[in-house]
Amino acid sequence: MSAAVRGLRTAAIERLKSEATAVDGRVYTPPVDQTAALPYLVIGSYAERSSDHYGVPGSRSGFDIRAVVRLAHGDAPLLEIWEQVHAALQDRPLAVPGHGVYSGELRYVADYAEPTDTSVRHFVARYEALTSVLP
Amino acid sequence: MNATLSLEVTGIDQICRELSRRLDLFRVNGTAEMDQSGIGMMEQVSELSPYDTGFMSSHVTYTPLSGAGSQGYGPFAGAGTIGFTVGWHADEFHAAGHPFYPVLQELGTIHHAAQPSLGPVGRQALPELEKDMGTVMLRSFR
Repeated sequence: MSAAVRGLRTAAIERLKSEATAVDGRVYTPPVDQTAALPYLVIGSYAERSSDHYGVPGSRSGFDIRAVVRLAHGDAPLLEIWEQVHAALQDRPLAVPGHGVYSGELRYVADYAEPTDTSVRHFVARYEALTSVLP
Repeated sequence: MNATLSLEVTGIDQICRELSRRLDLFRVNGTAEMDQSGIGMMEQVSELSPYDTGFMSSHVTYTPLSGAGSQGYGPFAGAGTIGFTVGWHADEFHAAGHPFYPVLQELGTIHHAAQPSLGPVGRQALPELEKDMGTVMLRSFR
């Protein structure tokens, strides 16, 4: 059975580059250059486990989406990015070759300050999707 | 002479007593299952968490959440909350003179990649717990 998480990752990166305009195309996977311009998104911490549906092979897959944002006056820029990520992925299944994608859900996990520069904040969200292998 | 013709239905109270007994059985067995799972998760997080001084690894805690409450109605009234948390408490770190850094280890910073332990253990253990609790429920109410 073919894995789904790599295709989900690729499709998510394409959609976020197109629709999360606040990061201006800066959607990365680790490692990220420490001097990279802010704000940006990082996709990582992948997980996939088998989840067959009525005998059809499938998976539950997921990954973290982390935003890194520099704030000057208030946290509105951080929330703007969260809203754009949410609008891009929540309940909008991604297209993955060879797989049917039945759901896409986001969960806001945490936000916190960069320890060496508290004007930089991170938020982390977890994306999960249910897929099946197409015949 | 007064006569009556009626259909008498009884036994609902017996059903309620049996449901209540089985709910108590589920509560006891379900709590035991949760304890076992939560302690196992705590041990796995301790093993998986990044090791430098060992403080983070040795301060993972498992805290059961069972207690009386007013949730539910009918035979389930007072069932309360049954659950647990696994993780770290900031006050223990502050008391030892450390900043609360588990969130930085778990989720990462600009300068340090994430080294998660809580997330991976939860993703592996919680589906198993869900199945096991289903089994406990079937056995309690069959």
